[in-house]
Amino acid sequence: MSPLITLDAVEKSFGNYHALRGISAEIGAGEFFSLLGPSGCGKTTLLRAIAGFEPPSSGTITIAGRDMAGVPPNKRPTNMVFQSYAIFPHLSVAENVAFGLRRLGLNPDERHRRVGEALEMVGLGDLGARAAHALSGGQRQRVALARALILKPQVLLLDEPLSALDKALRGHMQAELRRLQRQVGITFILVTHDQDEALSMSDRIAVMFEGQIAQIAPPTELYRRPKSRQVGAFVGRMSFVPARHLGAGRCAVEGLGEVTLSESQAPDGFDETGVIAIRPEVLRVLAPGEGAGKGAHLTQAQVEERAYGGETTTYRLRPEGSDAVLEAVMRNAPGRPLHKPGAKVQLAWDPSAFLFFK
Amino acid sequence: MASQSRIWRPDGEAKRGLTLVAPPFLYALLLLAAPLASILLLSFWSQDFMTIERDFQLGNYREALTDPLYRTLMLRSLRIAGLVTLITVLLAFPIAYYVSFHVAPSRKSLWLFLITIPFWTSYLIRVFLWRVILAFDGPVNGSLMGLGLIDEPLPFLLYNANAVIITLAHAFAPFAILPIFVSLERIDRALVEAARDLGESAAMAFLRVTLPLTAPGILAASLIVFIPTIGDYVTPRLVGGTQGTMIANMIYAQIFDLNDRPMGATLAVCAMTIVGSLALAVTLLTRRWSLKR
Amino acid sequence: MTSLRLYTLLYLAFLYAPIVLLPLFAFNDGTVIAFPLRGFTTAWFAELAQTEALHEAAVNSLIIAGATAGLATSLGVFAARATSRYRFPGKAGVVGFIMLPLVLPEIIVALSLLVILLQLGLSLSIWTVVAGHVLLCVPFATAILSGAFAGLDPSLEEAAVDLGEGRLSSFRLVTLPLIWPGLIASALICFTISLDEFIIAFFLSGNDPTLPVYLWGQLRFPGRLPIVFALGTILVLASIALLIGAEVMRRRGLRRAGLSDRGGSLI
Repeated sequence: MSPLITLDAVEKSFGNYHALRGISAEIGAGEFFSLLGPSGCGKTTLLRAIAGFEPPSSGTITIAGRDMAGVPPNKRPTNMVFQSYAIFPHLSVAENVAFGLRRLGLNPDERHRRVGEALEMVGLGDLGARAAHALSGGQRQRVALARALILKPQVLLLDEPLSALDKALRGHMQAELRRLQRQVGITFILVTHDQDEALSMSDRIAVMFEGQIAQIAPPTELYRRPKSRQVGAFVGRMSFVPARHLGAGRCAVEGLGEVTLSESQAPDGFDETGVIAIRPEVLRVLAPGEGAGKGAHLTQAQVEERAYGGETTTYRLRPEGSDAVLEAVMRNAPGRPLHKPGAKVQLAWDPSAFLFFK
Repeated sequence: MASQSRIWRPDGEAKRGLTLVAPPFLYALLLLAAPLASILLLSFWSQDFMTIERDFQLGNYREALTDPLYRTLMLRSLRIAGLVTLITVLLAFPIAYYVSFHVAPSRKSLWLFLITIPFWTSYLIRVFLWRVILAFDGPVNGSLMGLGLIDEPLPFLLYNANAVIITLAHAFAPFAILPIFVSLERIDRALVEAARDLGESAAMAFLRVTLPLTAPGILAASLIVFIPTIGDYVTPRLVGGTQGTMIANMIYAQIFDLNDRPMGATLAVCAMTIVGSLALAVTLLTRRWSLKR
Repeated sequence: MTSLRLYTLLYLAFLYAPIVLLPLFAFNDGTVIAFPLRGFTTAWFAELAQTEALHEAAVNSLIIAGATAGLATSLGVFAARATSRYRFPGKAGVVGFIMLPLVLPEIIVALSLLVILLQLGLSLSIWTVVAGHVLLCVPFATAILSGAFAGLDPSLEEAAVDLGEGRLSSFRLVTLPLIWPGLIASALICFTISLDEFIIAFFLSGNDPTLPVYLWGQLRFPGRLPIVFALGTILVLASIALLIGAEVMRRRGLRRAGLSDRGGSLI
């Protein structure tokens, strides 16, 4: 299948500031694609370049086989949900949703029908007559979605659409967006700085730092096999422990002793010195008398800090005789004891989930 | 990130902005810069009866700076403008403070509207009414005598510098209130609460937090009152008498009565230069002072 | 707090004292402007209606104010949109220069305009007054309209473009309806300023006096003072009516744009 959107060496500079540095990527039809990165990484600029609001300084953007150079935003097969939602305050909900239909020259019945459909689709069927300024945050977002989707774009661009909502509503709207995307079957490109949001919603995620794409991968791969230390640290949590490579995958790890890793566990290759990266769920804090299971390594450690979080507890642990600090997350299953700071515990771990970074 | 890309507008932003701003800017250039340049030019010429001598000379400036009459008028204008500024800002501050801190947010705009209404109504008539109010047989003297506080009308009310000061302080009140109000509105209320929380009394919290944060507003208010006041023509003419005449009256007299346009232009340039450099000096000093802190 | 409130009320009384006195003398049955009042009469207003020169001045004033309101508001739209939407080199200087007439002593503006007009050999008329008044009003129009523009989410016009409209139709369909009340408010304020302005009109009106210039001439004749006061009353009432109109439009604009009130049209 040929990609719907092709980005080829897209650059964007504002004076001396390089917002985008050589972005290349392919996004498929019907894909839910996320641009994830910290503030200032260029993700919104890239989205606006695709929408046509920030023409690239160089490079090409192709959508559905057509080069977008010189094509203004109003002539592109894309529509956008703005971060502020940009609901026209002087128009009603229905008038907002019908805004883009004007130039299609539909008859009133047809227009009415399509507005009704669009509102129905986002669950606002009976709010058409409502004034725009009388809407809640979640409703505003639904209006913005209906307004964009009514034009049947090939790509829907979403600029941090959930950041203005409170936490409970955000979770609900994540599921809703996902459902909507499956229903309309078009490409969604979502800009977000929230890794949970990106992981839970996307088919694929592009992680961006300083105007460049660091990695493009499906959520599971991105989490389990980050290509660089920076990506690993940004997506999910990771402990980094100093390590030395002794040759042929054998590594001396501070506080944990010697482990042997495969080639695939060193995404950027082995080097003499580096770090071992460990996800918190890879480490297990054993309850007294609990068995470690077959093949697991055991280490004595001391609890430095404990953060109780309801369903889970996060421990910061120091292996005996070292300065390394490890983070472990344990489910608070019934009967499982909580260890106090200062307590000595048994730590069980499996090096097959470790990664080595230079 | 969002905020950053919001600031950056599409390419050609500068061009679009300059194109848009061009019409009003060209208008100001044509009808303000060019005329100002022309009076500067005129001030170096001289007039002999009805003909303008276009020879560059500094005689007007020599006369403007040495003639005791001009000097008196200039100094008096500065003194009156300074006093008006001081009085207006002092009187205005509590009003701005009251509206900003003690009026419910929904009613603030009503208060500001009430305060600005008199400012928009005919300046000429307002000034003339002060002549009536302060007159020998006016309501001030009338009520004071009626209350038995004085036996004879107060002689110092009208036709002197006091009358000019009172009238101007009235005319420029909203000019002083609005900038101070704006800077008070910008103060995060939590700052004042923090000062109280850290042990300051209400008065000290005001002195150590509110007042310093209002300094830019007070400076703006002072300049916005001082600069136009010094060139006021109507007020000294109507209520000033001979003791309240200011430099603008002399400029007018030079142009229309004495038919010496170059001299009028010279006095105008002098007045602007003095006001401009004073304003600049005050602004720079305040900025330096506030940077140091 | 209570003393502060009392002070504020006294201050308001000080601000309004002259305006309150105005109608008292306008309806007073006597030519001497002093207390005690004599009795009620509308004779002065009747006399206004019969003064030919006054009518000419009124017509001049209305033409000037109307033209000024339209021109200054149009120029203000350009300035306000440029300042609130775009960044460009020299912005502070350019905008500062446009706003300069706000603080310049009026006599300087009037004198310099007069000098250049005379140097150019142009004759004075109501249009020279309009030129001066526009200069004076553009800063006010810019300030009011900047408020209207600044409150607008820049994404709104982008959203219109994204939904298929061109640049001009986006402005017409989205921005214009939202700033329309601001335009009216600006025009009303400029109209009021022009109607009341004296110095520039005094210098530049030549043989076509405006109402304030006419008034100024009448101040020399003590017997004409009650008529002046009657005229003043009408002018002040007209100003207040215009201002209330402007304030209503300003608030409507805020409501329409779904914004909260920051206080006034000049803030």
